[in-house]
Amino acid sequence: MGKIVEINKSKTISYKDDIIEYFEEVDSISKKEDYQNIIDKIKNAKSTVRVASTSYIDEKILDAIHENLEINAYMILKDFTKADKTVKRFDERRVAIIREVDELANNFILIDNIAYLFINPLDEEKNIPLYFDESKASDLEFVFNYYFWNRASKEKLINEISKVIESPFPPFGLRKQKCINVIKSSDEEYVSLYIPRDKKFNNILDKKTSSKYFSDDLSVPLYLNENNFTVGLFEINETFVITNSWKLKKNKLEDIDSNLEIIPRKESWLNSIKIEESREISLNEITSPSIESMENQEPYEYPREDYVNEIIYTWTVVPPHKPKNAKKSSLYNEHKVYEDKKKKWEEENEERKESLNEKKKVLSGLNKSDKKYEEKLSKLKSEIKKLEEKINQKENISKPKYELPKVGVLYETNETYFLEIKTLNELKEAKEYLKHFKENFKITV
Amino acid sequence: MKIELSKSITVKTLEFVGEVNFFEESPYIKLLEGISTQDELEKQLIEKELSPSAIKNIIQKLESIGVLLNRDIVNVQDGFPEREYGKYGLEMFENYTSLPFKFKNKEIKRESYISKNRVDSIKKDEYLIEKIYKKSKNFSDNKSFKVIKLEADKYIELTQKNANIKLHFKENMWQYSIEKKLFPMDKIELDNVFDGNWDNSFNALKIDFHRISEQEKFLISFEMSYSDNITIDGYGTFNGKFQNIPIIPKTKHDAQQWLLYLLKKEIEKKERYISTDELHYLWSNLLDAKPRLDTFDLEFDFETILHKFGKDSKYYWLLQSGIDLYPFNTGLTPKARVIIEARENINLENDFVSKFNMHNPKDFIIVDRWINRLAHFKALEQILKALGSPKITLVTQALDKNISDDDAYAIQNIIATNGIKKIEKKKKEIVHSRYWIFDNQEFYKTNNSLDVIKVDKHNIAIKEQTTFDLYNNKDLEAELMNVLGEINNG
Repeated sequence: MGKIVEINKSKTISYKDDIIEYFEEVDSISKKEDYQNIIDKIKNAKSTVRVASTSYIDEKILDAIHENLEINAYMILKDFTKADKTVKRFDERRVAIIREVDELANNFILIDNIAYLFINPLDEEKNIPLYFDESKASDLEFVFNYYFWNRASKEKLINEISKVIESPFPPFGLRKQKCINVIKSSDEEYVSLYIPRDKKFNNILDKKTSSKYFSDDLSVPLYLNENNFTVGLFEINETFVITNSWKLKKNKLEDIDSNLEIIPRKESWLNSIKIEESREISLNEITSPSIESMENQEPYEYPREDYVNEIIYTWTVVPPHKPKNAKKSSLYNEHKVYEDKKKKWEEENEERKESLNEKKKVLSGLNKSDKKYEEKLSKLKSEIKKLEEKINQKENISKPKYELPKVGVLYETNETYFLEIKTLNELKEAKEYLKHFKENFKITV
Repeated sequence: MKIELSKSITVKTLEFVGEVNFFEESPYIKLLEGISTQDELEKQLIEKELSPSAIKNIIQKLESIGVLLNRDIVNVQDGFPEREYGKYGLEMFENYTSLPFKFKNKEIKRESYISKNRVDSIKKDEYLIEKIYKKSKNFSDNKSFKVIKLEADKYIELTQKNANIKLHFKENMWQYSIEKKLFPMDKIELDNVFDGNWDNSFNALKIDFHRISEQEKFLISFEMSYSDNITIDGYGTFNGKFQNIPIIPKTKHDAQQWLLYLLKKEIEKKERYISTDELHYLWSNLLDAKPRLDTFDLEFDFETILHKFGKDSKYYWLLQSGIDLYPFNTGLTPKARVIIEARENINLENDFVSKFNMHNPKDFIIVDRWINRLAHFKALEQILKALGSPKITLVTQALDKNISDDDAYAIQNIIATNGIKKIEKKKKEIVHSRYWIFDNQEFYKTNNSLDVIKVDKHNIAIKEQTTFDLYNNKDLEAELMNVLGEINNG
């Protein structure tokens, strides 16, 4: 039997059947454009401009409204506080009647009798505008008027912000329109769902929808059917196509082309990856709890690496070692003290035996004539008796609690004893020694 | 309305020698009572059995003192003339205008008695007598006197001072006063007082709007008070005080400016958004309340009203927003359209009702927020008559709070007489569009309220072209259908 040494182990696990959700790029053509066309239209408007915005409004649009003093400007903003810089741009020098409508969820601009519906908020420098001619713009016009007169909580009239002033019209409800209708929420099932490339919209992907995408073109979710689509709270009876998109898919790892760039749903959506065929993962050394279990020692876990078909895990099993704070056992010292004391007592007894023999010799040679015979006899006998008593007296030295091991070296901490051995053939003896131990005891290398 | 015109006139003190009649109490007054001619007198005296010589003496006496003149009894109204000759001091107002006196005597004072024989050439000087004014009363004791003769050219002007004459116009009557004494006078035509600017049909001063454009009180009350120096032909120049003078716009343009001013005030008072309909309503109400404006046939013109305010005024936006953000354009095409042209003297049956494609509807519903004044109910009454008195349900708001008790009473009378079932709702609860619904199947939306029909005694006029658009009920507002549901469910 040889020396006890560490053992190198390995294991291959397949993850090919694991199913992941990921985005796969469909196209990267963007439909976003700047506002120049809209700005030109505003500058040439004759009558009114009406803006509905869920955010503050891009300064270039506001500049155009400022430039055309002929037109009357009206705005509804979702939040005066968040759109503060838009609200502040209007006063008696350029009046716009601005109202705050909390439930506003869409962005659009009515310029005279045409309109543009924007997919994204108007604080963005580029946007996706949908043009509505006169016949369709009237739907947006009605919705604007509905929000303005019925749903506003605050208004800025010239310079002052106050509660809205009483409407000249009786309250009126929404009506069924041909092109654009306001809905309560986008809960119904759609054919396609597009969300922005932003993980905060991730939960929306849990909705029941046949096809799901994210798009760099979007800042708000978009729900598409074949002949209509929903953005914000508008259901628009028009066909709409998003070109820039990544489609959400769900597949086994082995079925995903490893040459394909994908974006796993659960990862950051900023970077794409490729599926790996195989990867080796070197695990940390594992200290076996016992010398016997070393051969079968597995890692506590096989750490998972996603997006890899199979992983080869490698690790090293090392035998148990005594802890660094273990000191050579005090048992050794106890035994030394005991042995020393015992030796000394034995040496002293030898001396007493020699003295006893001498005394006995003297006794046998004692001359009765000696006038002091009796006195000497008595004395010798007394001394012999004392010596015999002393010699026969049981040694009064306590033994250490345990014997010292026959193999290895014994170490200890406050709680545990460690018998450090070097070879496997010492192991049996070490285990024998272990049987007598009532304390915590480990065999280490 | 009060006018006070004052001017300074000269009071001259003259001294003359002449003959003056002082009118005193006398038994002759009683004798001459009821007698106007010499013949009647003689007949009376004969009846009293006076001798012819006594009668002759009396006649001669009366002739000599001027009581009998050309066989007529004259000059006894103020007393029986006692003729005296002597030296007199006379205070006399001097006036060369057409005022009610040329020269009015103020006071005569006998200075001393002078024997007629001691004056060499006593003769009548009609001119002077005329100038002095023949007959007068002393301002001090109100006793009448009459200067009959002056010794020719024998008056001396002693002193000259000023006095104030005031012409008063009050309760449609002219009087003048001098030194707190009031005298009747002939009327001066107000057109002369106001330089040809008096409107006799409205009894009001025609005035340029710009003259009072800053005077809110005048513009609202249609009365003005002011002071001004005026010159009246033949009467000279006066310092005038004019109080509560009724005023009327001079021209149609002035009327329009005036109405716009009042309308602006109404708008400012409301301090809220105003729809075109409500503005139209305010416009009509103002014209109803101000007949002096209504006479100019002003046409409602939103743009003109709007331009009274600048774009930096919130009132501009309180009006314009209702136009720019008008929410009730459905874009639907009506099934049919009835057009009633603006016209005076129309016959509602022939010129109005017959244009609707129906005969004697049994059931008639009007949903209109703006039927709340007497003029509207008068028009409704006429429409009901023309329609053959169908069962009528009217959905509208409460009566205008500013209407008088009389108007409210008259409205109640029309409601009761015509069996109008009036469903009163808050203005906000009534749909904005106006509907006329016949027999629950013909739904007409109209652009004007009932005030477009002006009922003036027997003349009925349509003030503006009015359209009635016929729609399918599926195209109507849900809010309207709710109201109709309420009506039909009782």
